[in-house]
Amino acid sequence: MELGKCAEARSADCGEKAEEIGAGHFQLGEEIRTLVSAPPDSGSSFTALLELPATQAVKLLHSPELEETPPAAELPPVFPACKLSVFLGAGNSPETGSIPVKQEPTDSDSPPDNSLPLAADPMAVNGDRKLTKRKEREKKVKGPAKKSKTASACETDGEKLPYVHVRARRGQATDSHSLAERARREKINARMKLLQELVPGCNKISGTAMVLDEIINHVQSLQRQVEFLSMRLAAVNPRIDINLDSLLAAENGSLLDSNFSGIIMPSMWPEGQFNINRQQYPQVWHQPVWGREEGNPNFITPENSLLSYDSSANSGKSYFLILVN
Amino acid sequence: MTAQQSPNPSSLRTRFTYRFLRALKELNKHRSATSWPSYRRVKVAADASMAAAVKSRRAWTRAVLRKIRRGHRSPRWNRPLATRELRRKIRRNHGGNPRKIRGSHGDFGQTNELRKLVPGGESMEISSLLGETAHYIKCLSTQVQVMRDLVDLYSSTPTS
Repeated sequence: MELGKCAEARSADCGEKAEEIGAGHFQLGEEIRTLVSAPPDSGSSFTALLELPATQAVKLLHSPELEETPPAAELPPVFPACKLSVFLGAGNSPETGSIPVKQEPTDSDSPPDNSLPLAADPMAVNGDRKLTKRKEREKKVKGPAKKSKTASACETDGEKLPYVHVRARRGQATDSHSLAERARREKINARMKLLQELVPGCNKISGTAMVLDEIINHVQSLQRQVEFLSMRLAAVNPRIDINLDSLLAAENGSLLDSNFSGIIMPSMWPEGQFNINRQQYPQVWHQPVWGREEGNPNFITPENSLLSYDSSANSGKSYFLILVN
Repeated sequence: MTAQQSPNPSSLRTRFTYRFLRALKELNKHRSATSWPSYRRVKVAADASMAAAVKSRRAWTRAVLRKIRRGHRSPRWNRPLATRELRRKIRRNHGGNPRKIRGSHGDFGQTNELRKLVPGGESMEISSLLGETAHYIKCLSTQVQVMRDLVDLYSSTPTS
């Protein structure tokens, strides 16, 4: 009930407000235009949202609004004529505290929207019908307090805007702190989803605590596997001595066989060059080791040599270049 | 078997394989009396090879390389911490991680657990921690696959 009243009051309000804020409306028009093309991009723009620094307040739209629009017959009724604008650093607009409502641009509002020739005509025709429809939809959507939100494609224009429009859910605060918090939480949720896909068997679990437990278990098991495998390798290692050089060449073939399930040794790996490298390589590898051996016998370990090789940037880079071609 | 694929010469797996094989070869070459490759050395070599294959692009690889290098410089000394390291420790405990206790979503316990598991995860925010965990899991599974293949290869061809 209040929603309806607010809606109507808001439409009048917005008319005046629209005229006052000259600059804002041009951008509003642009946003609306981008919004028209937004629906297919809503997914990607959501991820674009995640990349935004948390300090920027974000502009969010209800995704149900976008999804539930009747296809193509009407223009997507997500033209927020009166949006809740959060003026960064300039204080909040008077609507901050009250419940935000999406409004159709009624005819009184359309003058500033000259840039939308598309919007004006069908809107005028379907105005009342859409208004009521949208109000119902909003009530339906906001009632169960769905958590889905998408950023509009305006995020890409977000940098140009001096202020950012915000669509908050019903009952949610809209100050910049909670917005930043919400953006951060969305980011974390997205990362959690990625992790869920990565860890086998996590898709069915619901609830972040259990998923985190699974992830921790998985990481622990992987680390334990590495330990056990290294023990086995250490046990098997003596066998490597025999003909290590030729073994290395053969291993590459057969190892890559097992790794890549059947392999043609491609011309990308010219074996000739590889052999040459192996000849050069022991020299370079050993020099730093010998140098250090004279100084500090305690510190000579194979890892040391491995790392000294890595830490010397130039030789390391050239080494890698030779490796990878 | 499955269809043949030509291996990507610059994939993580090939880079790690090459480095690890070289490290193993090196381990065997420097087989003095004391340093017969114990399993710990193999493990360290594996971790070092993996971190080097990723090449400091990730926070956890930098932490791993740092740890290994530090472990080198003073392997058997219990020398008193230099002032710089002490200061770094204190700074890390205080300023590095504002969100350690006030976890988001209220999953405090698991977050701390995860931090202990992922190298370098002590002083990271949760969002970056999750990203690092994802990459770390991917690299760990690659490592496990390659090592398992190596073990199978060696144990199946005893006379090569």
